[in-house]
Amino acid sequence: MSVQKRSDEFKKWINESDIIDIDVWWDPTFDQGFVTYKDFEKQMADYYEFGLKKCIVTNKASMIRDAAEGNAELAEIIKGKENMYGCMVVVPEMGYVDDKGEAYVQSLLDQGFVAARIFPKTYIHSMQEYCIGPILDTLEKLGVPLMLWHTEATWDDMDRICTNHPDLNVIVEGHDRKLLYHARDYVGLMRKHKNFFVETHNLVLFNDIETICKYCGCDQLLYGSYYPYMTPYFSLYPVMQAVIPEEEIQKIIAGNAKRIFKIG
Amino acid sequence: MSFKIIDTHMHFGPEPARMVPDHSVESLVAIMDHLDIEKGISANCMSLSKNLWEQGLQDDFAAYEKSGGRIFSFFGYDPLYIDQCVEVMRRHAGDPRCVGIKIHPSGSKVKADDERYRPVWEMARELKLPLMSHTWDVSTYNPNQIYAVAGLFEKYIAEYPDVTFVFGHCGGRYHGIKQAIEIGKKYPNAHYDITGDIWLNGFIEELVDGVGADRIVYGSDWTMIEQRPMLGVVYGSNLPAVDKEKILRYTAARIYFGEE
Repeated sequence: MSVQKRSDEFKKWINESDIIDIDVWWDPTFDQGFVTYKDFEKQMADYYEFGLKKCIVTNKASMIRDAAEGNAELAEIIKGKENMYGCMVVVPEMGYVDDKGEAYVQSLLDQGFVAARIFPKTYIHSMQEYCIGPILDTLEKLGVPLMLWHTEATWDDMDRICTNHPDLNVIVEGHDRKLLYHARDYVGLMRKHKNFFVETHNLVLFNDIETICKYCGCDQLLYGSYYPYMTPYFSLYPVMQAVIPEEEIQKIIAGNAKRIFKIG
Repeated sequence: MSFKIIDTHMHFGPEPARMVPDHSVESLVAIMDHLDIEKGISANCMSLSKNLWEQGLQDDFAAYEKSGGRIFSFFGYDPLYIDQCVEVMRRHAGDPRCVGIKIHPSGSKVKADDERYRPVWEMARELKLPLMSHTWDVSTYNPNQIYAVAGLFEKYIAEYPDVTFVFGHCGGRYHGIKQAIEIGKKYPNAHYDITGDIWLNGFIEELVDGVGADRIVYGSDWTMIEQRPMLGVVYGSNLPAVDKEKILRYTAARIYFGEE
């Protein structure tokens, strides 16, 4: 097959596939890249040029500035946008109100949010139950999956959360730090906890996807691009070319996300 | 006949830090066939990080045999063991399975412009082999990368214009890539491999715009990073097919295998 044909087939596959990208960011502060955005509409116009159509967006402001303010800002950004969903950032004190933050989280769900993140190192707090238990109870009760960075939470933290909150889906998202050194951890967690998931953009070890499918099955893999930091082509080709049955590829690119985020 | 790719940056040999249950030649050849990769060049882990340069080569030679002649080798060089490394190179000089020399300043913890690297540049000149180095950007979590930032290579690139130098990982991240490109604009012997997780949005177009596709080669970093991510970056990019072909095969064919 020629290079042109392979290129055309790759792009055709993206365009024709039902793909849910769970890891898109809005970060106008990002300037350490060859492609950066100060305009969300422009960012997403370029994003759709890759052929991707459905995504969950996190506002960087929620991580680095103020969680509630960033969430509110994101709610406005995604309002009325078809196939675009929000990921809220939560902090422990959101769970300290009477209803453990249920009203607040529900209000965001009503505005199109479908996921949550927590950044214990950035916000300087423990990942023990005494601190984050209440807000995790709420996420678990309302069925809101929780995304974590492995540089913010330890693998033992993730194990404990999955054990203490068996109905909370926990997703490790590799951001810009190689996950490959931690394969024994995330595979171990995937085997132990059916509520533990791995987002795929930073799964780069040789045959990583195939190995995970062999040891754990494919139901705990979720496609994400880490756009706009990363070109989606980096993360899409390994899934398209994974040597696994087609139905498993479909689960990774959309089916699993539809199930746990209830979207799609 | 299908277009065949050359993977210029792989690593056979043991590496306990990585969970790769099947890193056999057979499994590698299977994925190479799946992706239309004709051949690859290995810098064996034993040569790179275990100070076992002869054993690393022999391991690669065994892979060459098992793969039906598809896996070639880099000589390894550590500036802390000059004599041992030069001896291995001299012993195998002219072996067609050895198509380049690899250095890793971050692994050796010796800055790339150190005088202890002069012997390897001399060997590259003498043996007429390309010299490829791990290069990266300053890293907040891996301080050893400071030994291999792109700017440190300019000294020798300038002094040895007849040596084909390859920035492995093309400088790694944003500032490193930009620095490496600036060097390439000055010195035509500077080349770039896009090995590893070099995933910055728009980077490959920037690299081609800066130095041209005929100075860029594809590499994977197998087993650490597998083949498919960077193939996706090339296939999906807006580059014309002729540039993609250069990156995926023709530049490597020329500089490592003498094919015009």
